[in-house]
Amino acid sequence: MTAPHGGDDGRGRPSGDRAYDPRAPGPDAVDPVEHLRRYGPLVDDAGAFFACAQRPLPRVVIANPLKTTLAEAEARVRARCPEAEPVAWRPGAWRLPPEVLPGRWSEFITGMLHAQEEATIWPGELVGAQPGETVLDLCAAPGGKTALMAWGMGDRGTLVANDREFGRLAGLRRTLDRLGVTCAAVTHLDAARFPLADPPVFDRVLADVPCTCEGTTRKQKGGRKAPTRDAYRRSIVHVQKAILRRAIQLVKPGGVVVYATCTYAPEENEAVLDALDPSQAVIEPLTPPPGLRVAPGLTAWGGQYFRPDVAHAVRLWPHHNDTGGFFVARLRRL
Amino acid sequence: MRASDAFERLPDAEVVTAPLAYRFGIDPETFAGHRFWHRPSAKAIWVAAAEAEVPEGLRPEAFGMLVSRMKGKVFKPSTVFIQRFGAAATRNRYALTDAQLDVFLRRAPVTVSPVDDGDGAVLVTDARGHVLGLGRLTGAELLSELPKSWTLGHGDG
Ligand SMILES: C[S@@+](CC[C@H](N)C(=O)[O-])C[C@H]1O[C@@H](n2cnc3c(N)ncnc32)[C@H](O)[C@@H]1O
Repeated sequence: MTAPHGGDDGRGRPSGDRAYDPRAPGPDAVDPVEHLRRYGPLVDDAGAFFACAQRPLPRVVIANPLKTTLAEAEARVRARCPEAEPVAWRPGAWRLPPEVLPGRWSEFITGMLHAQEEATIWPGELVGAQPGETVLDLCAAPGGKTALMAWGMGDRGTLVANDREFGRLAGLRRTLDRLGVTCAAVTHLDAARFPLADPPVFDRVLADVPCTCEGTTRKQKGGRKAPTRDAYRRSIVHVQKAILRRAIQLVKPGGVVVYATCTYAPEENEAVLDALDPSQAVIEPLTPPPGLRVAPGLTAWGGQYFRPDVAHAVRLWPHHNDTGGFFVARLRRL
Repeated sequence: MRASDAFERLPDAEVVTAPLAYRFGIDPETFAGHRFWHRPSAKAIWVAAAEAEVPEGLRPEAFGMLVSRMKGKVFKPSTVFIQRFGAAATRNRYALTDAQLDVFLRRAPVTVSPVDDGDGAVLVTDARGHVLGLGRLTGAELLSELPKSWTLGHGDG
């Protein structure tokens, strides 16, 4: 995933309970997952969670259906990396050992393969984009999930890929170009102020919002990351709520909005969903593909109770599927 | 946001399809599912899926895929455009062996057998027919015309 807008260099201390992990270091040692300790009580096996969060992430490559077939991609991945392991729950995706650099393969230059964090594949596909639809990706750069949606659309229809960071648009365009996507329009707007049409034109909207990225420790080579400052979290939550509210306004009645973050914090997930006016959208139950283990959304955290349908949202804990961490909810506008 | 004018249909698709048909034998029907676009005040040409429309009120930075930066000059297609549509080429194409591919992607000259019309632009593929982009042939020497940033190593992550 990506660095949150504005950076996260806070030095504040997290409020967390260390009692759950017997291997928690003493007060003098540097604790690489200090910022994750507060989630110990939420997982089945806190020790496994903290240990997994520090291991490097397996690289995952995924076949681009616009440029290849499953059989051909399988043969090429095997030829390049005999140790590649198919992702159990998703045909057309393979795990590579962390030291393998697939970007050096010509299959990347021709756009036959793409590197995609495993935990983000299913959330991207949950949008359910279909050929001929009009779909909006509000926070699109660098385009991993935009690509998944373009594939769902068979590259037919209109896919608006937006990002507020001008410097990230080049990477977004590079992803779409290399993968051969021709149905996308790239815009450079603040998602919270994305222009409204009356009536709304979008069949589906993805809000993969900026967040504190707690789920990406495995990409940061073992997780040394300063804990999130409360003030920073509060400001990003404000942005998340504004973007989700806008996403609901932008989708047609009956249309789908997917809200996603790569962070564990209930403040940035369930609490953001809870802030929506319940008469505007419902959170739908999700059926994960067989082989992918997910945990239900929390209906309470830190003394706060959330609307009951947040239980339909899901969290991907890293130790359950050996991936990064992720949170996703699918809403339907009423 | 940068002020830029709206995308409009390119009045004459032949500025794109004719040179591709001439040099590479690409049937203009290859583009039947797509439409060409431009911004009247800018030099670039774009291609987008036929169903794609810019929703009203939006001024995108990009629409579909860049075909060429230089409208009106000698037609020079972008690498991504050639990769997307070049598989339809029937002439002046060359399939690199795996060993030649490595050399080509390092931007070193590859010694090849001649193509149909000899010196000039060649549509270069890997051994399995996946299009890499264009090369320039001079005698028996083929040189990459892929953007420099696309040298081996790009695309990771
Ligand atoms: C989690 S990343 C998106 C990852 C992307 N969806 C993918 O799958 O590759 C969040 C993105 O939101 C962008 N962003 C931050 N604030 C924004 C805003 N107010 N409006 C639009 N985009 C914003 C950031 O520049 C960043 O690229």
